[in-house]
Amino acid sequence: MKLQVLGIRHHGVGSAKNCWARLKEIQPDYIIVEGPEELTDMFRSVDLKSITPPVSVLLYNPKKLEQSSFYPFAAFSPEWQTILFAQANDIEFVTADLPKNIYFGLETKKAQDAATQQDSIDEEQENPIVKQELVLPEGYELHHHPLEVIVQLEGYDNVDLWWEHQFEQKFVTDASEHFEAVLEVMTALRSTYVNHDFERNELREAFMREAVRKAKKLGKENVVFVCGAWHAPAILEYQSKKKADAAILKKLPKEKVASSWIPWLNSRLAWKSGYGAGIMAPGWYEHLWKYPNDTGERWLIHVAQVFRDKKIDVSTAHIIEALRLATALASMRNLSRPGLAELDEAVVATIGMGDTVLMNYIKEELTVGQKIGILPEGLAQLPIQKDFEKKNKKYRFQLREDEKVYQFDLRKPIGLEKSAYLHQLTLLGVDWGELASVRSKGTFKEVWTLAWKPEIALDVIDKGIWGNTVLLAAQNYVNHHAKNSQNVVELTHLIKDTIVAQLFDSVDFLINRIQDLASLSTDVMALIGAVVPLIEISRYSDIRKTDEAVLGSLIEGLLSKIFISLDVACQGIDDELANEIFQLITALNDRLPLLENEEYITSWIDCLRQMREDENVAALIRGAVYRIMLDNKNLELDEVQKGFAKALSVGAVPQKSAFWIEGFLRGSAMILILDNTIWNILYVWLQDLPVDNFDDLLPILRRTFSQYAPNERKQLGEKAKKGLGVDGGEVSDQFDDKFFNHKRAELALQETARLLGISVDGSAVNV
Amino acid sequence: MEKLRKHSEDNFKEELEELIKQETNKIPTNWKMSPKSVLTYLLGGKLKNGFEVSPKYIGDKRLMEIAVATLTTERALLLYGIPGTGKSWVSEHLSAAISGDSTMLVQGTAGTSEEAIRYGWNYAQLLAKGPSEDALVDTPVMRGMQQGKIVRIEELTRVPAEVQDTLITILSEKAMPIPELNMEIAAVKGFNVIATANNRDKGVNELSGALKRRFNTVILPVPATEKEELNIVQTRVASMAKALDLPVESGSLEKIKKLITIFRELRSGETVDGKQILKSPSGTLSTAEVISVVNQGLALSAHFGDGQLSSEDLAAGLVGAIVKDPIQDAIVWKEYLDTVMKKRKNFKDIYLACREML
Repeated sequence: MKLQVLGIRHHGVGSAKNCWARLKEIQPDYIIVEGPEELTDMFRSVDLKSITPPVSVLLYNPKKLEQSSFYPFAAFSPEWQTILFAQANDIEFVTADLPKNIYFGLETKKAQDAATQQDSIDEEQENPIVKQELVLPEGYELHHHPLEVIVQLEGYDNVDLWWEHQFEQKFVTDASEHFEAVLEVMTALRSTYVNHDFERNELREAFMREAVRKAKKLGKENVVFVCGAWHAPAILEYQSKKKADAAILKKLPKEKVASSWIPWLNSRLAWKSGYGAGIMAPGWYEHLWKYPNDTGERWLIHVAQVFRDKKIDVSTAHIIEALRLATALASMRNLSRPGLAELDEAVVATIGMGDTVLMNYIKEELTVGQKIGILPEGLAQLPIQKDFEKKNKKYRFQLREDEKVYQFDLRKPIGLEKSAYLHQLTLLGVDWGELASVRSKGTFKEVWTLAWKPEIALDVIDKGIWGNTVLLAAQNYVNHHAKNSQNVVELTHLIKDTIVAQLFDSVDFLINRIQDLASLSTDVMALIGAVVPLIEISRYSDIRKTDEAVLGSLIEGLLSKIFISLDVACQGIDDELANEIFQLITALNDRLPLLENEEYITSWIDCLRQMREDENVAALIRGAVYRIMLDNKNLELDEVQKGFAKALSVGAVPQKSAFWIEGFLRGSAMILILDNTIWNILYVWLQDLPVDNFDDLLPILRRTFSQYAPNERKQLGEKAKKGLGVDGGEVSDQFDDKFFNHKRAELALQETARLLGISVDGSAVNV
Repeated sequence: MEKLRKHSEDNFKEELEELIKQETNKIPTNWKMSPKSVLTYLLGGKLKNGFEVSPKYIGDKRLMEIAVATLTTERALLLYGIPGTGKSWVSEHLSAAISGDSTMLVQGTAGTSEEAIRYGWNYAQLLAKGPSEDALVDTPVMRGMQQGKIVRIEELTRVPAEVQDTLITILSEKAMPIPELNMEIAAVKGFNVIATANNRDKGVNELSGALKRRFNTVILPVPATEKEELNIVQTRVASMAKALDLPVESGSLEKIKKLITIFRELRSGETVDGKQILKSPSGTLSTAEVISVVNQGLALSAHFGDGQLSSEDLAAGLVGAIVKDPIQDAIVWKEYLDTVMKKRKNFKDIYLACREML
């Protein structure tokens, strides 16, 4: 039997091209492709031509959904092309690697061993290579990839780049030479490592060799094995290792395995999964696959188009200049043509003015791309879908297109569970249920309206990537989101959502994340915006005991930061900002007592006092602080009267005084109605205001007073009629009508009445 | 009389000559050596005959490749970066290696006029004979064009915008018209421009779109790793100490390492172990600042101390380099001292010395 091993890189474009060329030359009668044997049936059961990659095969343990692996394929994956070739030419094929049922079995065993023998988790198993004390040339470091030895010797800093230059980017001339070269490199490398059993390599390769021996038994004569380059030399030893393999392959634990095809996204090709290989730039590989002879110009034109789509002007001259630089760079680096690195660098230096900001803006779209794979109908069945169906059955939620209302009692476990489940779906962005009334302190009921749309099924599938159950997916999704968010306020609101969804691990995660962000933040407003909901959470929500303590210390940290910097944050700000801070301060003042912590209150009063005394704090806020302190009984009334008088004294800028009044009086007018001293100060101030200033200040004053309840306003009006308030005093200014032109007033009155649709005496008329 | 500072082409004369002697690659017209040799000159390396070339730029090799590759095309090179990242240093060495001459230099300032970039007139001649070539006063740019050499323009963004724009014709047409004489100076092959500009100065005189388009831009970053930075500081300190006749002793290596750790932590806003987030001071905290702190320390110890670089010598310069804003930076610095440095046992001496300075 003749065996030819084609060493490839998973998702390598050049590998795929060479593979196809070589297969054509060899015309084998049997093809083996690296991959767990469960993949064989998956490939045999479907015509690959009916599928549009990227797609992925998911292998998972139906009993333990957390055990799962994805095997993604792009159009340019060598494995994909090989199977296509086999199908097109009617050649028998199998996949060979450590079967997933055994892999899961080993994982289960490992977990059990770890549980029984907590401290014997030996790192040797995790990373045997590091332990091997290799003698490397001075200055070279080995991280985790065996190829790094060669790569560093050649002066590259990155394995992928080296492979790219050596094997992928060169124009295909002779495929058989290419694979010989790959084999030679790998053989040399593997001889350096006596024991290279990382990630269960030895076991995996034993299965691969076993497949070759089976082919021989079947009487095949011309066999091709397509596998990751690293394994190539090992497979050739299929005869000499027969005995050794037999020993390894005995008595391996097994688990159940289920499988499914799922549509994949280009962005997910970048993930490491299954084959243990991800690619950073699927978009670029796809380009290479489509235009194997492009020397950069097509790519740069594509770059320019993406820029233009995003409304960034890029001229043809830019492209020419970038191409020139990329070509010059390639020749300096001894490359036959520019690769992605050269092209990227050229774009940054010419179009991006040296700055990577522009490039990063389009990088995702450019090098990753938004492509989604398409499967023939009925092919996909994901574990998360199964979990979704199971849960819906359990909770009796029907997939009905018309709206159906469900009501849960949160005091009962099943009600809480249902609510949590729907909250998890909402967090995942599966837009199915709508919460009618927000859960509040007083009620134990939650009302949801469910309305099914077929697209929702797609949402569920789409989120399958995050986890195999709704709960796990929601948890991972939230954590992922939290990791990328810089917004403290947003995260605190997310905590609320995760608590009702009972995702306690995420709560943990979020609290830590907020802690990190807050320690750097200088934005007091954001800190207050975060701490207010956190106080509510700590007071009202059902969270775990451990989280409670962490949350407590987080709140403490946030509060002390706020108390230190609030004063400074209220200086030199515009009206709008002052208004926002005003509201935040009020909210904080309302919630703080909930914590029942004397120390916080004392610090808060200190903080307020400092702001009260600081002339630089915005007038609106100072007014508000006086009012808050008065309401909190931290300040005597005569102090307040003094402050009021000072703020409205002749020397003060009228504009500032008006804001001060707004801050002080917003919310409630009772103090004006009841306290004559303050009333009189305001009265005199208004009376003495020059006409010009009055015009300017009218909007601010109107804003203040228009917010009062109608009856408050009425009382104030009554009081204003009487003028200066003397306790028990009488009306001082009499209404004098001798200056009125009654005739003209009558006209205006009638017109106004007509517009309002009432008669002049105030009763409604039918129009 | 010995010069205080020599030009690069004199300072590294031997290396340049050796590189030219060993040249095997194709040399662009009017260049002294091939682009690859220029790269070797910048990044250092061993020549085929075993001759050791010292590294001039320690950092990302790819950036230097872009810079040299740019100069082989018709585009000019713009080196951007915060102060102290080695822009002028790189530009000087590039022109020394490519043209063998780093003196074609225009220093950009707010007062740089068009005459400093294009040409001026000798008014005595002009009045006596009228406009003629004899009355023309040339500039480094004009000489560079005529001789096919690299011209350096330092701090381009400090030059007024209307003066900057005189470069457009020179860079795109590769010619400088002299309408008064109805003639033009055409650039000879080998001519190109390396300009440097500050990131922080960006807002001052932003380059016009038209001018930007004539440049490929390379942004020089702060050193990526501690090792890299240590390497830079050591090399530069050693060469400066030699120039200033200061004794250098090797025992100070540990102290310089600590110094670099302090700078890197404050610059990046987190501790080396990544466990604690820190506030960053307002200054740039570039490698150049580290170098000057070490130099200052060496000078102090040589002239006023016992010749050993002590923590006190370093602390004096350190506080000045970090606390640029007396209020904000002082808070940042105090916080760093008490929350980070104090906890590290091996930083005790420098911590105490810094505390003393407060």
